[in-house]
Amino acid sequence: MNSEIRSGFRAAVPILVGYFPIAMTFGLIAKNMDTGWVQACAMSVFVFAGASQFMALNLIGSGIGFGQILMATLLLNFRHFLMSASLSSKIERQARFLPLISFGITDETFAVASTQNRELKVPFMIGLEATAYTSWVVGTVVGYGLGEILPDAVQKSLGISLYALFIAILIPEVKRSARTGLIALTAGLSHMVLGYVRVFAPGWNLIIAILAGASLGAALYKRRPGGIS
Amino acid sequence: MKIILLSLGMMVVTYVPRLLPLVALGGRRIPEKLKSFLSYIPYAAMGALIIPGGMGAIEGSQTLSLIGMGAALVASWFSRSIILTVAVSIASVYLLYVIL
Repeated sequence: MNSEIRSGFRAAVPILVGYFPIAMTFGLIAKNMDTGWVQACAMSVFVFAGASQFMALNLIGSGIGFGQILMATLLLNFRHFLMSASLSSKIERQARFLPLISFGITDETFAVASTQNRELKVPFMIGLEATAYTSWVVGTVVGYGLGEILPDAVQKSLGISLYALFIAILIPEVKRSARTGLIALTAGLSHMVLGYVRVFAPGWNLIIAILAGASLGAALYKRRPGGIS
Repeated sequence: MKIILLSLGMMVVTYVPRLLPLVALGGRRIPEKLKSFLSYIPYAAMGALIIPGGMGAIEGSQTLSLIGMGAALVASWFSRSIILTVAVSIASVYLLYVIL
């Protein structure tokens, strides 16, 4: 097998392990809401964007209209626009695979891909994303199925896995560069403050907070003579 | 059926922003400053998703949510393994959930 695909699989192992409990949690919540398992799977198969799927379940549960759910989803997932833009300069130019690869851009596949210090080959990206996607979809099915079997305590404990995953990705970067920690903290605190003041819709809060953190990073960025800092 | 239609709609609004830059930018060189801005986005995003969302990770218990994140913080500080970090975090929440 192509070694780039294999290295994509390997790079995806942490995502596979991280996604599975989160996808299971999604399946469990969907089961508790009795969406039907086909519906729960359809969402994971078509959307493949965790935070917005949880948000959608939440909004469906509160009886919010589909138009507003779509708007909130667009806002919440617009961050992928910036990730896709960032990857466009690192990824091997093979036009016919780009529509496929862009479908698999998530916070986590992006985090793994963008921290590879080399050009990103198409088979690597496909191996990486296919593994993450499979874990996401299978996890959803398993979670829905386990809904009636798992003890309540385990189901509730899985709620932490999404955040543990983010922390696990973030901390090694913070240890390498304190600036990264400052950026993350700025974005987080901005998000919290925006949540209290309630000037913007929640979907916007997230985007504004992300832009604030990244802007701070860019403002602190200094170009070193002859290289990238 | 309604949820499937919603999912298809969500797919469209999620897929288009994922697709456009990758096919339209065509590997054009992005200015260094913009590039650094873009490279900080995931860290800002993770920060903004953890704070304050993480405090509500465990339904009905901010304390357990904070403990779970604290456990993840400690585990990821001492180990580079993402898997171990997630496992330690889930296990510590579960144990406390069962004991308390």
